[in-house]
Amino acid sequence: MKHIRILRRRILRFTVSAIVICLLLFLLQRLLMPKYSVGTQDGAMIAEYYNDAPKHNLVIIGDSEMYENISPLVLWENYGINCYIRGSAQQLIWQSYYLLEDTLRYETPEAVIINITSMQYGEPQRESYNRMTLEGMRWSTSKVKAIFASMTEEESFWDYVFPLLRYHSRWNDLTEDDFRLMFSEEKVSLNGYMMQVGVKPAENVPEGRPLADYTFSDVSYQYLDKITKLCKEHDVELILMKSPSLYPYWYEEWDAQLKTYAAEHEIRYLNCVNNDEIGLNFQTDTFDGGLHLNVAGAEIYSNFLGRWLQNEIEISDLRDDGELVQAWNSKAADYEEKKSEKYRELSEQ
Amino acid sequence: MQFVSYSFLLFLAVVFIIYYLVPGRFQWMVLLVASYVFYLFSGPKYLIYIMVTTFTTWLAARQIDKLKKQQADYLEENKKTLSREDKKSYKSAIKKKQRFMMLAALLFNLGILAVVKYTNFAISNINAVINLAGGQPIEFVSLILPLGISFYTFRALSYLIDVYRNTISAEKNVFKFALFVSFFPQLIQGPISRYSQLESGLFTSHHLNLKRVSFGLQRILWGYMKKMVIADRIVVGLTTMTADTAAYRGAYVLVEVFFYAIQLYADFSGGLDMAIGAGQIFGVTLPENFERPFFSKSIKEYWNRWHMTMGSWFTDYIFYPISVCKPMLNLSKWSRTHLGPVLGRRLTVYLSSFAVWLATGIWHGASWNFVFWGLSNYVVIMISQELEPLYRRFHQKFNVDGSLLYKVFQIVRTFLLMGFLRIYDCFDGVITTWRMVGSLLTTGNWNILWDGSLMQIGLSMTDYIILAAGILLMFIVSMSQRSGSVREKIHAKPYTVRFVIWTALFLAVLLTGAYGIGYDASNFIYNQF
Amino acid sequence: MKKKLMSLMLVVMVCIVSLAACGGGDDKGNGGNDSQGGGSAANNSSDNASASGYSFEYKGTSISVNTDIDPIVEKIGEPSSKFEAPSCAGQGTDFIYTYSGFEIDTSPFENITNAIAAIIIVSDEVETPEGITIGSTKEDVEAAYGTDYTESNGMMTYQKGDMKLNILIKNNAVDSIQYVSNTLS
Repeated sequence: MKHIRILRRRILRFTVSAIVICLLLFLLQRLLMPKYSVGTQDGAMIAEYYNDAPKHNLVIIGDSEMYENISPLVLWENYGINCYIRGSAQQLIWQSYYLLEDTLRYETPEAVIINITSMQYGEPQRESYNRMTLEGMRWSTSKVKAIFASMTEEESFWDYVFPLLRYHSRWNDLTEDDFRLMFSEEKVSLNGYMMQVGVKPAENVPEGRPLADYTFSDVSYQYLDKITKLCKEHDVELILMKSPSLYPYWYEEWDAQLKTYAAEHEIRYLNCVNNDEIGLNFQTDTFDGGLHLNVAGAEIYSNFLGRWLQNEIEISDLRDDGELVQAWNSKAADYEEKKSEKYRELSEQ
Repeated sequence: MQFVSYSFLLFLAVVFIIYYLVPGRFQWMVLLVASYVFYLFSGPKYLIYIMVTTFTTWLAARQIDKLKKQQADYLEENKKTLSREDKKSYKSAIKKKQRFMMLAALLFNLGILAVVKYTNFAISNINAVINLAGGQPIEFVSLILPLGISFYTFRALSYLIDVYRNTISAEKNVFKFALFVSFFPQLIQGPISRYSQLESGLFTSHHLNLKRVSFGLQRILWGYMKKMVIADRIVVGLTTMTADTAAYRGAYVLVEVFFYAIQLYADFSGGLDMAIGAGQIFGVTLPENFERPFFSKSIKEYWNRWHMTMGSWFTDYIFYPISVCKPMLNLSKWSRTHLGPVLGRRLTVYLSSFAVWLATGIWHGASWNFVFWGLSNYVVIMISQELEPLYRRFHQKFNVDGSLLYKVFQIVRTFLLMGFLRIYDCFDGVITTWRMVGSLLTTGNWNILWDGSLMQIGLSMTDYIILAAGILLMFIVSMSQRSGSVREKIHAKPYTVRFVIWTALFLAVLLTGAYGIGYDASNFIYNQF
Repeated sequence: MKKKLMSLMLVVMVCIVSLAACGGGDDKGNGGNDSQGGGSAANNSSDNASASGYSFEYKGTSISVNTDIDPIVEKIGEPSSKFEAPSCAGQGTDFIYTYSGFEIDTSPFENITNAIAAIIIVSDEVETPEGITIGSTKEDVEAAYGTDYTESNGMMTYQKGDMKLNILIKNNAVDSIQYVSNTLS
């Protein structure tokens, strides 16, 4: 009898201790993880996707050339396209693939646009970019595979499973925001779009220097193949796109390879570099001297893109869906508010 | 596989579960397989070395044992017929065979160690001579240095010699012997255990004992704290300074002496804590390697408390055999009659000690730095031994014996002396080391100690605060250790107190440990020995 | 029997050691030194070989990749134009400095804000210290830099230290000369 009592007490003690430790670790982890929404906002958007109703008929996957250049509100208001941009800084082609896999677990859009700027990178670039892309993903086999495909030599899988291990020394840099945003981050994007309002004309944009080898790496092609295959399997219209941007330089040799690839695989490839049809003016429509578009540029480009999608793939107009209309009405209000706020900030500078 | 890695923790957990799931008589096999898997992680190429060493020493020891048995049988059978002389000559014939076996295996394995570890050192010395003569230098060979080769070779040889000396009997099962040589917690940096110390722990069955397991885990955690919080943090500052001998001279050398003493101790003893703790989890008690060495009052005492298993190995297998070998005894006899009792008594001790310290130096690394370091220790110990009577007179005259202040003085003196000797490790070449130590007197830049220069060596204020706290904790634990096991003392406290203490230590290591990206995961200093 | 045993052991030992000798190379810790860097001569000799790569020279100032550009600008003067390319998500800014005849690309590297990642010669207004410029022939290049290079699609690559010198040949004439850092590009 006594024996059982002791045993029971021990089990209870052990359980309570384990719970306390786990709770402590959980709280510490929440506290020490970087709060992207008030810091490097480019890292916050992958996670935000899961909060939007999975009823998108267009999903755009890619890097800053996507999430800073395309305004989903314009696509909605003018073309009835309910679009979400799954963008992250320096997104690599295999990360785009796994984000596509991840997206298809929740919904099957009519069309998917993949930014192919990343075809030029055959290996992981930088840990901070990996973090910004991967941390926001919900756990799934896609995330696990994305981590293993992306890790640089210095990284470890366990650091993704328990980010506390990665950020353990951040206690030295904690701010009030870290406590305030421990459990819920602020919303930073509008359907994955990150608005920029500044203007910095493009000047002296350098030409690309000649390369020894223009062929994309095998790894890049391998993942492009996987993207193509996955879209075919899910009957999703795949569009490869190069966003309008003057720098980094987009070589003709790269363009030619993608044209060939698209033709061979019967998919669409839309190169928007130096495309006069769009109507962009790089003296006024860019905030960083020609690398990315500001909101004015993004709206012009989105109109072009909407038209193109309507004409080329006859994408459906969802403006008769009451729920969506309601959601977008409130998003439009947010968008305008954010825009005027940003312009105000800019004029105050 | 490094002790400080996720894979090691995972590995340990898996081995632990399997170990306590299988029936007791299979437990040692689990450890053997685990040890070889562990070794395999460091590169399959290395495996052949440890297997050859294991097999040759095992075989030689078996042969010696068989000869022993053969002798016993023969003497028993022919008890009545043999004369005393016959017996004696038979015994000496057997002894000769045994010695041959022992020496063959010994030289063979030492040969492997010497070739892989010292070939390039030898070549660089030959080249120095060739250079003087203006000849074409020899190319360095690219040899792989198997992980922990010095440690496992010494372990295997101690077994061989013990069998030869008849202090233990040979292990019949080659796989069991293989486990002794390769037991993974002590594979990469010791301790250099003896067969008699491990035999019972390794080969008997163990039930899951919660207290023992948690003590083992606590010991590992403590090791992580020393290694990750202290050693891996301070090493950043240390390498910044030692990498640039032109910029960091004078008073910096004193800082280096302190930093290196702390770093080496925290790194090495922390690694040993992990090894011993891991052993404890499996019910295997490994010998201790450190006994608060920085509290030593003399160099001699220091060497009895620092890297103890190496020191006792050298005493048992080098000092002792040399002291009692025939030529040495003859020399002793001769010197006593020819050189008088004072010098005569000392000569053989000096010679044997010289051999020990030369070996100690070379064991630590294939470079002249280490040779000089070893011999410097020798010189200091011999001098202090000679000055012993003088000290005693001084103590009596001023009546300082036993006074706390004097003890502290002795401890500080020993710490500094050892620190300056140890600094040989930090620089490229013997001459550089001397020059750096000399700059301490000539540079006169003492203001760097307080003018903020020490904030420029890669360590921030936060780093210094963490280091200070870590070192203080290490100091308090050491003080507390003098009156018995700290873990036992904590264990005697109520559960909540224990829980708070260990959780706090765990979180401290987790949050303030210098690990992960941004920190160079520095290898244990002793891995390559 | 004794001799046999002894010689057998010797043979085995020689075999093992020779096996090890071929295996080395990429393995860590292939010397007898501790990781603290207690150096032997073996360490020192290998370091010198991989010292520095090729440098460009302008107005008597030597310009090398992997070094800070700021002190160089002080000597050679401000560029005719400077293009700013911020990395995504605030991970530092790359710059392209354009001078007449060549340009310099920089990236942040460790504690250097603007470390030189590449130097590109674009016209024959300047030439390399070894006398090669745009329009030189392949033979000129080989005479100046030797024949120890790799070639792919007309790009001759000379590896030296932590950099490579890329020289693009088109119609048997040098079309582009690039000093490129290995770590920064």
